[in-house]
Formats: sequence, structure tokens, C-alpha cells
Amino acid sequence: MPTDRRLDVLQGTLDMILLGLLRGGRANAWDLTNAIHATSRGTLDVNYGTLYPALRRLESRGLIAGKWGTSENNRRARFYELTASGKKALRDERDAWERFTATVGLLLDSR
Amino acid sequence: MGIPDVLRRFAFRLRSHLRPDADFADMQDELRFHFDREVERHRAAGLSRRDAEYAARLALGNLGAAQDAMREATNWTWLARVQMDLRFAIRSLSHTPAFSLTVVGTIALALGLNTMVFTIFDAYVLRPLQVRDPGALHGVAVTGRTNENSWTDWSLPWDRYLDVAGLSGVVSDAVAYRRAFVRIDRMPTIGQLVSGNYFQALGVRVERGRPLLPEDVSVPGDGAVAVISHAMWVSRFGSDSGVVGRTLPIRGRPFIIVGVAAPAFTGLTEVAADFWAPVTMAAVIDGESSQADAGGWPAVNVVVRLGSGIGAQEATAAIGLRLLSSSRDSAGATRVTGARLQSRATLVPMTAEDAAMLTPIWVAFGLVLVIACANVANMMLARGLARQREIGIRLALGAGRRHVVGQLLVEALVLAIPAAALGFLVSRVALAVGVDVMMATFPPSYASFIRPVEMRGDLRVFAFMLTGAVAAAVLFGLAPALQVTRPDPVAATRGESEGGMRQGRLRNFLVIAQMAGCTLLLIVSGVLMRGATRALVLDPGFRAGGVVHLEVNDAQRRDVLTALHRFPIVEDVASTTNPARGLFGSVAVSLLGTSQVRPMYFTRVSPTLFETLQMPLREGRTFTEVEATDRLSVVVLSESAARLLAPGRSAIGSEVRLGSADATLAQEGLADVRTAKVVGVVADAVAGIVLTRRDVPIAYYPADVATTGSLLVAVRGSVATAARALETALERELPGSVTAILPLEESVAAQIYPVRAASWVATLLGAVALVLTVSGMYGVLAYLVAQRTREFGIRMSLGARRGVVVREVMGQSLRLAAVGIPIGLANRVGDSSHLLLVDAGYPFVRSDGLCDGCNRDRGGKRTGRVVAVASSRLRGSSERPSRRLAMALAATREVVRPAGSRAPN
Repeated sequence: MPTDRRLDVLQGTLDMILLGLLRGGRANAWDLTNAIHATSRGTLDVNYGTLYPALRRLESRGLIAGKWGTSENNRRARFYELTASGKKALRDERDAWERFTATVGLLLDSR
Repeated sequence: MGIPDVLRRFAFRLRSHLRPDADFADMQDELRFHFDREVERHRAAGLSRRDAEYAARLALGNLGAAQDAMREATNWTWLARVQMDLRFAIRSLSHTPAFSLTVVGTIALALGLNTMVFTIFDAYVLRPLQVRDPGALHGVAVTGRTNENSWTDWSLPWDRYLDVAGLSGVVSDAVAYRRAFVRIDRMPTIGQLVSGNYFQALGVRVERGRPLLPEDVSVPGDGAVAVISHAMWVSRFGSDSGVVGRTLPIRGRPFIIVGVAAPAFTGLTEVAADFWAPVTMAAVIDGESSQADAGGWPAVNVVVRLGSGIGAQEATAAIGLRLLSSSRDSAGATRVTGARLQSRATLVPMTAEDAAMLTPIWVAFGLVLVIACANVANMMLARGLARQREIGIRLALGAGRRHVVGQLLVEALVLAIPAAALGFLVSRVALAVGVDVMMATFPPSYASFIRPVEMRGDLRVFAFMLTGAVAAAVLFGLAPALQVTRPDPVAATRGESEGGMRQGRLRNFLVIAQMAGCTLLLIVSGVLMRGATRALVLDPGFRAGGVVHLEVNDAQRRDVLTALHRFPIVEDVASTTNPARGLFGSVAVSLLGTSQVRPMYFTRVSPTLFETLQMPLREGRTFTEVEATDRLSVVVLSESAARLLAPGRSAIGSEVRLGSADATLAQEGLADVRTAKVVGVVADAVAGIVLTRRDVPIAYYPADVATTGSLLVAVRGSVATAARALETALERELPGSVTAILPLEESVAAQIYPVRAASWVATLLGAVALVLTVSGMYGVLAYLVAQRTREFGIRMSLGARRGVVVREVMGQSLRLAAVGIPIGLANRVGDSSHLLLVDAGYPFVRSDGLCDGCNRDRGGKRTGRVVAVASSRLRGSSERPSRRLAMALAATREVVRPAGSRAPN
């Protein structure tokens, strides 16, 4: 069965991915899209409809903070950075993710 | 999570909520930036502008959907939805003003009555006293035991007060006060005789002048100064700015006014004080009765301010120990066991038991609110069914049921909030009218002692109203909302609203609940009304008419007596230590030579008392003058007492022994009476409050009218006129001699008053409940009938007779009544109102007096009557819809018949 090389981002993991990307420093949504695309070598793709609501959600939960700034091409753009609680949330989610994947891996390998 | 993050989060949401346009613009800006970068990227790859934009759009997806999702993500959309719901509710309710006003009016009435009760409760029980740190104030009582009876005495000898005040580690301040009733220019006036530190320790402000100071209160018999209340300053001195330095004539002595208390302070007790004077003046103001053996210092009530960090329990132990050790050396068989403390943060200290005692009142008023809510719930239900089409369409278009229910609840709130505001007005009016009615109906001689405290609508009242309004909204809004959002949207959009099983059940439940609540309230009011009627004709065992109760200055007592005997209107003068008010003291009495000890009430009376009060002598004789003046050891027993001590034979000639000489006995001057000979037996009478039973054992000991007890003067002609004449004459001859003058029948009326008042209130509640229930039933049945008109029409066209249909509708309502009324009856309010009276301080409610109705009539006559009333009411409320139905049917038949007759063709 042929499978699409592009994966849908699992609901919930996008939040974690965004937090993880922002660990490297502040970035705007465009940078984040490119980073996801590039880092996953085109495997993951996000569009407006998922990325922006996710950013809003994270911001309204206080995990990231958005500020208007100037982009490298001198345009007004919104930059996001991790807050203290965002860093903590990232750590927690990362732990949980690792436990989850480890468990799923064990289950898949058990036979 | 750190605080700044919380704040940031809140600020973010707040901005998106409060400035949605700016927020939206930002969102668009951000998306536009993203889009432009995407286009740039494609252009850089060599695409034309058009193709680049197309590719970007393809890659980024639906812009509008993204914006919607972003807005949803901020979480506060519910707030926006509530705002929308609010706007919608106001719009749709203003389309049906009659409905809205009826709902608001109904809820306002019920909520207003409840708020009235709460306002009173708040004013006395919840509102802190206007003193410094009222929470630390505690009243101190000494507890003890006499024989097997434990007692609590809130009046402490002066020395004990000094003991308590000396516990500097436990109490930071201790103030003493004692109440004094005096007449100033014939106006009954209430004073507080206080310790020198009273004002400063309590932190009470004076409006002008100065407070009482310790140097005013140093030597017994000295210190004729006073601070007057703000109310007295206004009423008696016309707010005279030069009032300080003027005098107040108390008991013929001029007291110099040194200050005016702040308006908010009316003393530490629930009866507002008119003036405060040094406790050293007690002998002058109270006369002999206040004289204790403490060198002219009287017994006092004590309030302490606990030291910081001292708990009430700790303080009780420490004070108890101090009282215990200091009373060891005092003579007498009274055993002090410790102390009791009670918070005095508010006017009326309330314990859990006191609060429990008020439960029936809350339940009664709460019931009216519940009935009102049931009424409105029915109206909402009917309205909801009428709106079923609209609701069905909304559901069909994808509105969540939660949202529709939420919207209906918002509508309920929109009705409840103005109802609360109107209810507040209702409560203000009801309070004002209530106070006026009470003032007008209370026995006039006592009316001046009624001083309702200021009933403010403060923050607590506001919170109560709000809670009440929200509770009401949920009560009357939730069930109908759940109900009408249930149906199948498809059917509803077609306009079919078949009132299914569930709706019928809810409606029936509401009607039954109303019937039950209403029946309950009617029974309570019936019982109380009957009690009040009976109370008016109760025979307390003595005559109250034609007798004036007179309190005089001890110093002038003999002159007063001489004068009284000279006045032609005076028939007779007697005295007693218990002039028909308060309960008698009790003592253990035994027949000499037997070991059986009987508890008995006792009082001291002058020889003429039995004749003055027309208490018939059953056996033997009354006291002689000599026995009275020389305090010889003789006693007259009540019939019940005689029966108790000497069953089946005459008690005359037997010797009785007083069980022990306790403090009460000493107070009554009976400390030295050890044994006494029974010389007579008189008919039974109540021992104190007239509502109590008559067949209680009482021992009457002799008293000399010249020295002991309150004077009871039998007069000729109208008592009120005679009382006025007596006072005028005595004031002329012996100024300052009269300290109180009250027709005895007014004392009796004052004792009965609470029962009468309770019956009025219960009747009012019953009437409101009745009106609400009848209107509610009418509405429901009219609606039901209207809903079934089509069905009835078809049945009648098929040959059903009009009577059958009418009977069916009647039967339906009577079935509801058949369930509702017994539920109301099952609550056996007869018993609970009986308990209420018992709790309210009428411990010996007579079996032949007030409350036998609730025992004898339970399940009997009364029940029958209530059922009759309820069902006739029900008939009334279902008859009109039925009749209207019949008229409608006549018309329907006209329509249906031709159709039917055409069918065969």
C-alpha cells in the first residue's frame, strides 16, 4: 500500500514541537514553519490552519509570549519565545513523550 | 507557574476579549506576513507573482478557517457567547413584556420576603457591633450547680467582675454594664449603667462632648453624669448643639450630660440604650434591688476583650478557674462550676442551637420562594414549548444543546436580576410596614421598649439577594431549559410540539410541589392562628384587667403606699416579686418527715395579692398582715403543689422544708426560711408567662407590701385612665417616685404578642403561597387545555360528551392535588409549630391551651378542612379553563362536524 511520505501532525504533538523549536530562541511563525519543514526533511508539514491556532493556544496558556518585532527583511512580524512555564511544560511533555514512545516501541517489538 | 506568566496569560486573553478588533487586525497582520514570505519564496524560485500567490494559498490553506480557529484558541469565547446570549435574552424577553413582568413580579415578591427576613437576621445576628475589634468581645457568665440543676448566670457580682478584669494575661479589657429602666418625664427610658472603662475599652466614639471616664465611676453613689444616645439627642434635645452640660432628670436627680454617643452605637444589647451612666449610680437609679454586699457596687453583666492570641476555650478555662477559686470562700450551697463565654461580636450572639431554632422560619419563607419558582418554572416551560420551533431550528442548525440550555439559563438570569432589585424594594417596604404595624399593635405601654435596630441593606444583604436570585434562576430556569431542548429537531422545525411523557411529568411534579408547599404553609398558619385566638382567651388563673403594675422608688415606697390608699380610684394594693412577667424561681420543697423532694416554683406575695388578682382560695386561709411583716414561716400552696406534696389529703397544717438555700432564695429574701407551715391552698395559676401551663406547683411565701415586690394596684374604672391618673397624682405629690407604670393586661398582651405576630406572618405567607399556587395552577391547566384542544375537538366530534371532557380535565387536576396535599400534610407541621413555640421560650405550652389543636386535630377535623379548602381552590382554578374549553369545543365542533359530514360523500 503506497503511503504518503508527508505525515499529519498528531494533535498535541504540534504544541510540543513548537515549544521544542522555540527552545533555540525567539522565532516568528514563518521561521517555525520552515524549521519544521526543513528539520523533518519534508516529512512534516504544517499549514496556517494548524500552526496559528496552536500558537494562540500556547500563548493563551502562557507557555509562550509573542511580541511584535522586525524581521530580517525589515517587515513587522510577530516573534515568539518560551516563558518560564513554557520551559517547564516542554520538559514535562518531553519526558512523557519519551516514556510513551519507549512503551509503544516495546509493545511493537514484543512479538 | 510563575506569577508573571499568569499575568501575561490573563492580559493576553483580556486583550483578545476586550479589543477583538485590534486583536483581529494583529492576527491578519501576522497571517499576511506569513503569506507574503511564502509568496517571496516562490518568486525567488522563479514563479510569476500570480502563480506565486496561488502556490502560497494552496500551501497555507483556508485563511478564514485559520482565523476562526485562532479565535477559538483563546478560550474566552464563552464570555463573548454570554454577551451574545444576554443581548438575545433581553431582546426576546422585551417582546413579551407581560410574561417578563409577571415572572419578575412573582420572583420579586418571594425574594423580597426572604430578603426581609435576612435583613432582620443580618441586623441582629450578623452585623458586627460598631466598636473596636468586635470579634474579640465575649460575654462572661458564671456556671454552677444547685442540687441536680446546672445553671448559667450572666449577672456577676461586682467582685467577680473585678476578678475577671484582673486576669490581665487573658483579657485585655473587661467592661461591666447593667440595664436600668427609668421614666424620664414619663417616657420609659432605657439606660446602661456602665464601668468607667466602657467607652474607651470598647473604642466607642462620642459624637460630641466626652465619653464616661474611669474618674466618673469611682465612688458608689457618686457620678451623676451621663452620655446620651444619638437617638435621644435628636428626639429629646432636638439635636441641640449645646446639649453637653444640660441635665437629664433621672429618679429626681439631675444627671449632667457630658457627651453624645456616635449614631451607630446603641449599646451591647439588642435593645438600644438611651443613655449611659456610671454604675456607681445603680443604688440611686435601681433602688434597693441592686444593692449587693459589695459596698454599694451592683451585680453586672461582663464583657471581656480577649488578649491577643488567646482563644475562647483557653479564656473560658482561665476565667472559670478564677471564678471557682474566688467563690469558694463565699457562703451558701450554690456550687460554682466554672465560666461560660459567648461571642459578643454582634447584637445577638447566636449558637448552633439558636440557629437551629430559626430553621422553621427559614423553611417557611424559603417555601414561598420555592413555590414562586415552581410557578415561574411552569411559565418558562410553557414559553419554552411555544418556542420549540425556534429552539428546534437552532438545534438543527448545529447549536450545541449545552449552548441552547446556557442561553435559556441566561434568560432566566436576565429575569432574576431585576426581580432581585425589585425584591429589595419589596423587602424595604415590608420592613417599614412591618415595623409600623408592630408599633401600632404592640401593647402601648411596652411599645416604647421596642427599638428596632437600623435595618440596612448592606453588603451581606446584597450577597444574599444575589445568591437568592441566582438560585431562583437555576430553580425556575434549568429544568424547563433541559426539557425543551430535548426534542427531536426535525419534528420541532415542523412545529410539532407534542408534550411528551417527560414534560408532563415535570409539570405534574411542579404542580404537586406547589400544592404540597402551599398546604404546608396553610396548615402552619392555621395552627398559629388558632393558637393566637386561643391565647387571647386563655385564663392564666389570675385577673389581669383592672390592675396596674406599679414600680416605685424604694426610698419613697412607704409614702407612695400611703398616698395610694388615699386615692379614691384605688381599690386595693398588693405586691409580689413576680408581677406576671419572667419565670418564677424554682426550689426543691419537701414535706417535713418525708424524704421525697419536689421541685416547685416559688414567689413572695403580700396577703392581699390573692384577692387583688382574684385567685380563689380553695382551702385554709391566706396570710395575715402580721405574718407578712414579720416574715413568719408560713406558706400558701397552689392546688397542684398541694396535690404533689400531700396527694389525696389536705395539706393544711403540714410543715414544708425548702431543699436548700441557694442564691435565688437569698435574692428573694428567703435565705433564712427553712421550714414553713402550710396555711392555705389557692387555685392554680401560671408561673410567669401566661402561655405556659397552669397546673404547675407554686409555693407562695409571704411578703410585706411595704418593703417587698412590685406593686399591683386594683383600680376602679378604665385601667388606662386610672394609670394616667395615678401617675399624675403620684408625680405631683412625690416627684420621681414612679419608675414604671403598666396596666397588667398589657403585660399579658405583650407576652401573647409573639404568638399573634407569628400567626399574622404565617397567614401572610400562606396567603402569598395560595395566590401563587392558584395562579400557577391556573396557568398550567389553561396551557394544558389549550395544548389538548385539538385532541378534545376530535374526541367530541367522535361523540364524546362535553361533561366527560370537563370531568377528565378536572380529574387530572384533582389527581395532582390528591398527591400534593397529602405530601404537605405528611410533614406534620402541627408538631413542628408546636416545637417552635416550645423552643421560643414557652417551655410549658399548655396541653389545654395553645397547641392541643395540633395533637387532637392531626389527621382529623383540621386535615379534612385543609383538604376541602385545597380542593375547592383547585376546582376553582381548573373550572375556568374547563369552561373556556367547552366554549372552544363548541366552536371546534362547528368546524369539525361539516368536515366530518362531508367525508362520506
